[in-house]
Amino acid sequence: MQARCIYFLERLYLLIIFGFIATPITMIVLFSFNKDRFPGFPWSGFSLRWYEAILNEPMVIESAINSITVGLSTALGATIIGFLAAYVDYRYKFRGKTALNLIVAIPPAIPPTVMGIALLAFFARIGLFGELKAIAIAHIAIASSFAMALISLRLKELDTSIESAAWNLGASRLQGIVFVILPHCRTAILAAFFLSFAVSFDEFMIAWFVGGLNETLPVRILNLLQGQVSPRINAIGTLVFALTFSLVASTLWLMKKKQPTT
Amino acid sequence: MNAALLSLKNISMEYSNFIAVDDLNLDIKKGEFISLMGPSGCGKSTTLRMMAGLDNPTSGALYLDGESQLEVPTEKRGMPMVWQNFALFPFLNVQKNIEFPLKMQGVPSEARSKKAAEWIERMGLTEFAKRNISQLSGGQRQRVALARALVTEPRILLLDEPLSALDSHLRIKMQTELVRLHKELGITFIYVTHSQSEAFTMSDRVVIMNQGKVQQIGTPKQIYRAPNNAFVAEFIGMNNLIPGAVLRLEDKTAEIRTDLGIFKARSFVGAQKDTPSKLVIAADCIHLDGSGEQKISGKISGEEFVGSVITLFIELKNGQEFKVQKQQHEVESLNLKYGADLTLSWNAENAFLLAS
Amino acid sequence: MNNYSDNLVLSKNISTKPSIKVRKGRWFPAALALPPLLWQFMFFVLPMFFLLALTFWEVKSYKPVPAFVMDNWIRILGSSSFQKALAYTIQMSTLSSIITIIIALPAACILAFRINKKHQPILIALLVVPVFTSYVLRTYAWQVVLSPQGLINWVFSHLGVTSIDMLGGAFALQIGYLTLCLPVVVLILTFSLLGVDRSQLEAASNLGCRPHQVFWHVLLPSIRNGILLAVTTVFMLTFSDYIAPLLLSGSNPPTLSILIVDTIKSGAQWPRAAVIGIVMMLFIGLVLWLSQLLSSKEKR
Repeated sequence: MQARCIYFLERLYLLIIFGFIATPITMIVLFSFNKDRFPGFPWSGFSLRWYEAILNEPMVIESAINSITVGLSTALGATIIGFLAAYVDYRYKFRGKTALNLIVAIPPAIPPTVMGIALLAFFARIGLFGELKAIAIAHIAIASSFAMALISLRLKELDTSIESAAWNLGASRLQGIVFVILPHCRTAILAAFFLSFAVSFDEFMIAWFVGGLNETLPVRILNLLQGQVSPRINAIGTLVFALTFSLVASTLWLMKKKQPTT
Repeated sequence: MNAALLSLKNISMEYSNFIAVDDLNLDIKKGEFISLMGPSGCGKSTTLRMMAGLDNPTSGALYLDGESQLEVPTEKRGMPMVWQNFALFPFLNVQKNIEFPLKMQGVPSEARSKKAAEWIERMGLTEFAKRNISQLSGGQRQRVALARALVTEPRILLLDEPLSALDSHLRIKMQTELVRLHKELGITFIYVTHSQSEAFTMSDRVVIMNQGKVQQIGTPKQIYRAPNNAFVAEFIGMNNLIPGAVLRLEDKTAEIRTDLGIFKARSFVGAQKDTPSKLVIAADCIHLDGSGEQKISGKISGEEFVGSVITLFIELKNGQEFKVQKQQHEVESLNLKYGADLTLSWNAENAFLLAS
Repeated sequence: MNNYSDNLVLSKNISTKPSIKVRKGRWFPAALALPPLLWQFMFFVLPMFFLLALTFWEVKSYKPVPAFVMDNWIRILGSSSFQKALAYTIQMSTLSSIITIIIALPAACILAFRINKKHQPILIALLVVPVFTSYVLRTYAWQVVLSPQGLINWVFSHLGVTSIDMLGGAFALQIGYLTLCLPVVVLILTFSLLGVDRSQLEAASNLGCRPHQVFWHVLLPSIRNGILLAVTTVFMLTFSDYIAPLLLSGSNPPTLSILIVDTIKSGAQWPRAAVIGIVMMLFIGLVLWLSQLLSSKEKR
């Protein structure tokens, strides 16, 4: 009897925790389909009008396109930088390796506001301010950390003798990477790509600072939130959730997928 | 056939805190099966890796057909290696693994699969051609590793403890297969192992190494019957060593004084009176019936069976352990008991002295 | 198969002179290391040093110009609004660390030990997904829940309780911080609990420990580093958060992040904002150093 009671309490506790985490997301999705203009209770009926409304808002569409452009560039850049850093860490020993690992790993730990002003001041000096390029460059510097972590995790599963064997069998250094390392890491590389995209797609502080008049979606959302709140936010939010959910879920799925190891 | 195919001259490999290989010289002939053998950490694997071009010596020179190789990276050296853990590519199937070196050479895909198919058939892997590596047994992986290394028809095959990952009955089976393969191909096999039985059954010549230095190079019989020094005599296992000092020198024989008595034995080059040396008697040259001219007594302290061979452990008066190897039926008829006194004897021509 | 009968080339005069140590192909690893090194140096290390330099610059006609003055440091460190913001931010971050750990630890214990192994990966995935999902929107959504017209007050009104405005105070701020940190902290604690050797716990019970003794004397000490990591993570995330104070507590009182943005917005006081930024980094460094000091060094 006592055991059943404890079991019940444990489930209840988990339910509350997960409920707390899910509440904001549920609210946004729920109210994006609400007919009423104000997010009050009870719900006043199903409607798609807010989704239609965002289609007629060029600034939102433009910011979404900006976000996707920046996200894709970041994903590409961060995956390349992260892969190179992970591979160099895996394969070579040299002085200053710890320093290299640190400058790739640390950026996400820096307060975004601090990183934002540092980059803005710096970009303004070198004439990169106010461009989408600047946002992507900064996002790559941050997202590489995640990409490197994911790819390093996968590389650790590869015995170093496998690549040496390839060299011994006639593969050049470059062929070793192309025919041995890349096939081994392909899912981790894809996962790193998705995650880097998600990180960039969600980042607002640096994008806000260095983007100037070029707004990304999170910046647009923040600006909308500081003005008159409209249920369009909920519709945008639902779409954003749907995208990041699928990105992160695919990342997790890719990382979990069983792959042959030796 | 006395010109060297592969020649190592004064090769050394030094790390900051120790010397892995120390001034090694070795000539390897075309077509021979040569084994590098020694305890772990003796430098045998490092030597093999340097031949393959996977490590670069800190000094010395390496010649293939008289051409210096140290500037040649491993991928251009054409000395494929069979790895201890096989190092097969887990994301490629059997056929693609075997095709890999051909692909690196830029062989067109049709010729590649034809060549790979030959080797798949030759190694008895036909039904596994499309399998993943993870679905293969240890013996099958071994065959894939061999096929992958041999598909480019190299002149030299390097093998780094290739049988150590297999279980014992498979190991013996693969030994015969390796010997057959070596005969059929006629190429040079350079084989690294810590197993005496593998080295001695397969090789034409054996190189014994210790602490980065070559201790002896010779045929298995030479090494077994005439070890160069005390390390080899002891490492080979079935020798008994008694320390002492040279007492009297004759033409080719000498007398040695030990704390177990004075014994007669074959001498060594450069022996002088009073030089500290060791008396060596092989365990299978010792008689239990007292028929030898040199005698020593002790107590039976243990025994060990391997197949039909029995090894007796005898504790001598000074506490030293002596090994005696006999056929089981010979020992049975003597009806020996644990702790019983026993007289061991041998003939002087079967014993020899080594500098210590 | 007798392609091996290659003609035997007699070895030529072989010189025994030792060859020079060959270090060919060094350029390749260098070429691989260069892009990450250059990128991170240009767009992370350099801006950070630039930020430090900026703290000594002057502002002339709304533009920072190179100089070497201590004025910014003196003004910021001496200003009462900065001191208050610093104290408030430290206070809120510390409070959040404690609250988050207390709430997360039981959940992590249940997830690690009391859940069907089949469901575990799904629940863990459900915690990972929100970490990377728009934090701005998730925080905003709490407005809808906590506002006078929101979900909670709607429930209250049906229960006959008078409505209360929960927005704009430490409570709302802590809710926002929990939204930010709870999933991460539950994940960190769950993984460190999963890393604990179960036989140690069984051995303790076997030696006569009651369940609560096992918890205090075996389980907690063995996840000490996990707890420290969780605490520093919460501290770092909340200390630098801008969104929760902006959307839930109405920036009043301001936290350091709010203060930085305000400093820039009002009169482009870049050097002063940089001073606040450097102070924030110093505090985060201090917390990291402290946790390093407290972590157990034993290898597991």
